[in-house]
Amino acid sequence: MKSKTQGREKAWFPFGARGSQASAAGEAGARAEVRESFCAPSATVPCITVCSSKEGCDCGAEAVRAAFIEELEKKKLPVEVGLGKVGCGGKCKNGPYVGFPRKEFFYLGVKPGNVAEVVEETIVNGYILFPYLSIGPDRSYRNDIIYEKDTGLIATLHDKVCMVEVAKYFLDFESGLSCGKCVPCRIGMMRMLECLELMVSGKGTMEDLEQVRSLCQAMLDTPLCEFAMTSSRPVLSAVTHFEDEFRAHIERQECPAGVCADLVEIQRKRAIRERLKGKKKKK
Amino acid sequence: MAKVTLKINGQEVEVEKGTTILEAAKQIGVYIPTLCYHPNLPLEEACRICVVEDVRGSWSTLVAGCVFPCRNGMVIETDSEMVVDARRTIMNLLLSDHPNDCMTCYATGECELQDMAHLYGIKGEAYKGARHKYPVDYDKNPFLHLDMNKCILCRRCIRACHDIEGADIWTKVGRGFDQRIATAFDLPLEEAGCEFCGHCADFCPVDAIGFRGGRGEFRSWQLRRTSTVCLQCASGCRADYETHDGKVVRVKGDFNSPASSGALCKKGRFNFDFINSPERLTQASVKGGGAVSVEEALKAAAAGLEKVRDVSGGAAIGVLCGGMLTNEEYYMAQKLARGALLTNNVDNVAGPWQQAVYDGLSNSLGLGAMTNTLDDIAQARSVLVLGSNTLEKHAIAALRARKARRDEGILIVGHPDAVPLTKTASLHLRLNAGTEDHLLLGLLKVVVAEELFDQEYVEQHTQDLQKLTKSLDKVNLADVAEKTGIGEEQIKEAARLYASQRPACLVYGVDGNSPHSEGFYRMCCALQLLLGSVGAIGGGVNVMGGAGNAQGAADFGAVAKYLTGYRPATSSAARKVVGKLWGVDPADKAGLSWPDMFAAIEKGELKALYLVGANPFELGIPQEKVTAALGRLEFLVVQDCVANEACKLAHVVLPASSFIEKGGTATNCERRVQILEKVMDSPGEASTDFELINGLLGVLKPELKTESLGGAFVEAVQLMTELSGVDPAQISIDGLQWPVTPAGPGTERLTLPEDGKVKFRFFAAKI
Repeated sequence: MKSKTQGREKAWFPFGARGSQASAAGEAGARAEVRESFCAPSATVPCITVCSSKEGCDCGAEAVRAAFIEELEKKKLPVEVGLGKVGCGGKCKNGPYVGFPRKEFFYLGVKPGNVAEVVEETIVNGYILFPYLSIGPDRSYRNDIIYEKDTGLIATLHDKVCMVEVAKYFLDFESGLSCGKCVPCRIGMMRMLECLELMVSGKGTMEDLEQVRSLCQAMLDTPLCEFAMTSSRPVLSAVTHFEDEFRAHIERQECPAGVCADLVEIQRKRAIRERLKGKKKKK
Repeated sequence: MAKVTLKINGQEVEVEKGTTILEAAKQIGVYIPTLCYHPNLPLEEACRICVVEDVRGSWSTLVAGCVFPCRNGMVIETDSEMVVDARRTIMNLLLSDHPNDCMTCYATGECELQDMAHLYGIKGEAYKGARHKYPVDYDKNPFLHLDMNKCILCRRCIRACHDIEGADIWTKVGRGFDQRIATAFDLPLEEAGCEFCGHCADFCPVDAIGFRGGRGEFRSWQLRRTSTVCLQCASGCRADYETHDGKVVRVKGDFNSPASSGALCKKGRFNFDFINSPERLTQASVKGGGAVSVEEALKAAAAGLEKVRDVSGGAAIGVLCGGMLTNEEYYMAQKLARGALLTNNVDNVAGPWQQAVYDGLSNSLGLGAMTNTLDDIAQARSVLVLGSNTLEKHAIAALRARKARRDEGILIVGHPDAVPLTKTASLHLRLNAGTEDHLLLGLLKVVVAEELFDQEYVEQHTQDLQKLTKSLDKVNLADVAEKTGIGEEQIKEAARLYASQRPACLVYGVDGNSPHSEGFYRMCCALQLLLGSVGAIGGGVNVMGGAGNAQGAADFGAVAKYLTGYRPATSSAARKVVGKLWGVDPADKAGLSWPDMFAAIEKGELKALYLVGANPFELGIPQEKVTAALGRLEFLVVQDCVANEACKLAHVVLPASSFIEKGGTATNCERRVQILEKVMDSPGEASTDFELINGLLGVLKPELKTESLGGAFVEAVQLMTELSGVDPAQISIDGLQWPVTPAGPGTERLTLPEDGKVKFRFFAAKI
């Protein structure tokens, strides 16, 4: 999302826009431009992120990261490899993933052996490699989130995505789709959404977090149809794997990713206060 | 059916395959709480309160007990921690969008949500958040109070409105949290086509859709609830009357009601104001003497009637009964007329219609009343509804007809107006008022001409078909079309449609203007016989009575033509039998039905009239004519529960009880004899018609008195082959449908004639 503010969009032509630039020289020029624009070091979000493996993971994410760093160095590309936030129980279906935050897409199941190809084709040439592209419905409704229904894995493109905000986004979206027949889905979803709204505005309590958890469980256990389950599972994943982030929102009134506007404002004011305090002491 | 065995809370139970867990649990006395489930409604599985744990080895899952079918080897826990947690969460959620103002709520004490909250100790404070704020009492109808803030969206109202009433007024609007129950396009109930049957309020577990009656005046536990038979129409539904402080405040359907299985109509549910009316007669009075004691009034009435009898003869006296008396009261009224006043001028308000039903049907089919049950109508594949505005006059029949239509049956409605039932009809025949007989003639003609009839059935079970066919030769369809105002083609279409599916069911609602001759009913029988639908479930000739206990009135002899048990009043043999039983010979001169009585009053031949619960101003005769006729009488006794215009002209007024204030028996249109329960005491000095008539007899002819209701019934059935030997104490809540067999049980529906017995008979069709 933020990557869109980076500008020079016209240089990105993954779907054959290159054909319009007929001459070889022009092509070479375009390539140079692509390289510069897509992975300019000045950007606030990294150009490429790799899944940060958890304890017990056997997907080899660390090896992929190392391979990327090595490959990029080899090509002398000044690109930093960022960390993608991931929440999983140590198991996932689609192997280590690679994210491109500035263009908002994921590659799944990238092995160290494929890294050279990815760097060459995607980072250097600006093409999407479809065999790796995440396009399944499990990918969720948001570009910066990847969610696996089977394993409950939830991951983000980069670390500037707030999981609390993501959970709220899910509920906001789904609560408008609930048919309203059964109680857990009709009222439960609303109550969860209300809790999350409190959290993102800095008014949440630990009870609210507990309530979200228990309601998620109720929505998994008791509803009439799959819909309630489908919509509460990502929330449960977020609450389970990113409890720290939720706690930060509630206990410290901080949004580590800097997304929740109310909390950012609170943090800003707090920082000013701290600074003033420091100045006074100096006097 | 195959059986399956499962374990519920460690207890093994064997049930039929397809039984739900809830039903299986009920069998072994395990309680599973429910909210949206109702045994009389289709399943919905919306509330999820009934979840139970389905243990599958190492893991378990929650399933809805109300819908989940039992499987072999299933292990079910109904009160495990997981289950209780889930139920508590659901209850907390429900209460988090509920006003929780139980302190002032109308439903307190009878609210199912409240009971459930109590069961699980839920205070409703667990979840904070948005609550809906809908306007309270937003619909200004006179019967139902709507407060959708209290609604828990169990959808019972939708199901009741669809499945029981068939009106389909209520529906769900919106999605998710903002879903609510409303009418289409949020129209006010009346505009949406609500029939105000009140079923939604009956089924509402909370007070979202509630009755207006007595709001703010009582708390539910102060109510006394008694079930009795409603006598406001011939359907004879049992209803629960809830009373408080000597007043009826609510009427609810009785799910044990054999005729209606819990359904009620607008009239039965909301028309009870006359019982609570300030116009109730609570004291006897005599003309010129003001209020007197009942004894004195009875003496005055007896003296006045006696005088007319002795001076002008019994034939100068008429006795007219209303439609809401009990069988015993009809019996005693005609006993009084024939034995003590020496007149056969005794009738009830529906007499002329009911008498013709008997004449027409008994000749053709050997059974002189509705051949099938009300429930049967729902099982018909093809229904023809003629006569009254059925949904208003005989609602239960209309509901059943609509149900038949919902189940892919054909519904043809013949009525001059677009009555509500036509909305669901396959075909509406807009015939001219009172031309049902011509229509039948036309239908018969088409069925015979196009050979749409069931040849095998006709050959096997009927006789004299040639009489009918011969008479139909003279019928010209063009004449029928002209008379009825329906095109020839449409009559043909109707006949083909009606004959296309069997069993075919004819429903005829007797109404003031519709034809009611013996010949008409014979034509009804002929049509049904041709279609092979007499003696079958879902077929038959189903004639609704014209008043609450019209069937009982005719059975027990309160019609001019027949003594008790349809013994002709003019037959000396019949009189001899009756005279032997009574010890007094009944009058011998043929009696007058009530239209003839009024004609006789005008001629000056009838000089005294005893009105027993009959309001002469509601008979359909012009008001001035009635006033003039009553004014011409030498002596008028009015015995009624509510004061009417006739009281002003009466020489003696006797205060009577309403139908819910008395015991006894009543017979509905399906020939079902049912027991009435006394719901409450009569106000003031009012007493039952039975007691008042007995009081009169005590003065006029004490030997004709019958001390008890039971005694009167036992005496009456001695004269009735159809109810021979029935003891009223033996009649269960399901009632008893005559004719009873010597072995005891009644006859649910007319069966096909046995071999060698008299076959069903055709008669010439004529008008």
